[in-house]
Amino acid sequence: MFEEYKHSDPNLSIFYPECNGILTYSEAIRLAIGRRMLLDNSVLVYGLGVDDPKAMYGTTTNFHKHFGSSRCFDTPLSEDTMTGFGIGLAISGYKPIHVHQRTDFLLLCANQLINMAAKMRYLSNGKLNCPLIVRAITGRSWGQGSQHSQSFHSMFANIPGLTVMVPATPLEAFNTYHHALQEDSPTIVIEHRMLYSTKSNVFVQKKKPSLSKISLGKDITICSVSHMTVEAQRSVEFLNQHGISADHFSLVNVSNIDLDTILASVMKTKHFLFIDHGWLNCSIGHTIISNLYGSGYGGKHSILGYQNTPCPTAKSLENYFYPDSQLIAEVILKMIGSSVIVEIPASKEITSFKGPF
Amino acid sequence: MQIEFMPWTTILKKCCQIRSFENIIQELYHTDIIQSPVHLSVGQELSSVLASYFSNEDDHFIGNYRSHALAISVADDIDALILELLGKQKGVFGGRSGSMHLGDPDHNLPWTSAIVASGIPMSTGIAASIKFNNHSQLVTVMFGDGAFEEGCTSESLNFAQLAELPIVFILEDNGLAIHSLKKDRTSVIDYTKKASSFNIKTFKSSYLDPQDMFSKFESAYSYCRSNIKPVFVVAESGRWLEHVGVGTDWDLGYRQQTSNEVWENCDIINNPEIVGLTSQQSNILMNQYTSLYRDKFLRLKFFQDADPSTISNYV
Repeated sequence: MFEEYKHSDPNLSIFYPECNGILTYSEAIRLAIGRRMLLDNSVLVYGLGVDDPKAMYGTTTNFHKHFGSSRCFDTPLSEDTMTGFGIGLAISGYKPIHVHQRTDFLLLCANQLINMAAKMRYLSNGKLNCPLIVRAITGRSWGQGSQHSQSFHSMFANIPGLTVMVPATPLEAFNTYHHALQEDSPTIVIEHRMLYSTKSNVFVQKKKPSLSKISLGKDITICSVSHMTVEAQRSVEFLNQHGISADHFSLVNVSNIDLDTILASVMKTKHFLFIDHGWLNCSIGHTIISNLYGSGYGGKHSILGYQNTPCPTAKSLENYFYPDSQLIAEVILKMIGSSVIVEIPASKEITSFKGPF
Repeated sequence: MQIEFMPWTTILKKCCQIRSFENIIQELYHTDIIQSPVHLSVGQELSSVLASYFSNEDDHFIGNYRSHALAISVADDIDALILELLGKQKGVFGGRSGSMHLGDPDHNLPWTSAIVASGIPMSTGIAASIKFNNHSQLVTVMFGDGAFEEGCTSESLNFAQLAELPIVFILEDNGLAIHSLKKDRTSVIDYTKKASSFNIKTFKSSYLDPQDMFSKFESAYSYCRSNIKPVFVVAESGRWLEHVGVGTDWDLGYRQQTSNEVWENCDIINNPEIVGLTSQQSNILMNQYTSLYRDKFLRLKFFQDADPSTISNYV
């Protein structure tokens, strides 16, 4: 399907002429946004550094050259006002994409996002649309520490009127932007720094990603968020060697949970593990587990996420802050009562990352 | 925009409309006809009326929670505004916004924000859309002196000038933020000097001199429109009533009732002679609109309430 739209739109050759449908997470984001910018003049990208040489980890490379400085532009360090700026554009018929190098900076925009964007359509009784897209990148490792590592998907998903998307794969990232840029309401997309070099086949899907199936199995149902999907799948692939398999889902749309699919799986496996890329108190994981039991599920469950602390800078401490493939595998084995011994090396994208950002 | 030979006739009429509307709210509020906070503009009508007067049909507006004056200034359908205040299905926003968020999207006034200064950044986006499309409109954004203490106001002034956006920033300086006096909130003595530090063209006016206020607004709108650059206008004023609610608050003791006399004396409804009109003209208009709006409020209160089955629409 990737080839289909490539052929139907020769302008796409300016992006990835040789990709054959296999793209990195970064390339998939650039393609999805660039393609919509080609097709829809109302789409524009702005934010601190979007037109600089690093171009948001390559996701906006040369957009300012392709589309001009009125459709891809740098801004003052005024996150609050620049969010309101995007709302003003959005209610005027534009589809602005506001990019933040770290998700932590969304807190500077919280008033505009929660008090203004989320309510624009509702308070106007449908007379105003607000198709503002907010891109935010969560960091990890090489001392990102407590203020460059946070992911607020559960917090923002608590707000009616905001759609929060947390794509984990290039396919999910591509289709998140492909569909969000054709909607009329605000969307926050939380990307992850450690995912930009991951690769997958990319094609247009008919629907916006909600819950992606990563693997099929019989022993346990796993639902994971963002980079934890990579960690969890590494555990699953190790356990496959020992005859243990899992239904593994990547949770992409945090605001509108596909509970039916998860429920059908857990009724089959009788074991449910949720792995969040965030703190667990008042979290989406607990909401899903609560809803599963409320819908008739009676099996086992477990939940993993950040330690209930700010993220420390020291590597020795940070290693304990996040769940990793080893811990995930151990929890799975304990849940299903297996005595298999596991030893999974730390993830390469983590160990090889030398920063600086 | 069409400048009339006798602009004050039109301006007085609009001010009387707003004052009468607010007076009826004061009269009926105790009956619970409006079940929400109200922030009245009594005595501060002129800046909204002048903003509307110097705007074109297709210009844009951003207001704030003290919303009635601007909405009445731009709207044709007063019934839809009243129905909104009453929480009725046929209100301009189906009862979802009410007094603190009153607007008129048909006249490019979106719902207003109850969070101080929050609407100001939006004005930059609307102005940018105008500029991107090479259109000739401008955006008026109105806020109080308290809003100047919010960071987004300075951010918006900086960006508006940087991007050369057609925005008329109007600061209604009544010296109060709820019950907090300006001297307890800010070290800024002259708001125009701070705005000037962003290289924005500024204008200083006061309700004490309505004729001069008219001239300053006229100059500001003319400069913004012809140069496609932001302007910053201060309108010094007084708040006649309590911050929220329909009464006065002299009994609280944080300010003196005598301090309001200066504003009441220069008010063009109380003393239309200041602008070359007569008390008879003012009295006739006030009587006419007071009667009209009393009848409307009392009739429209029997209209259909907002429909509970629609609560989840447009989330």
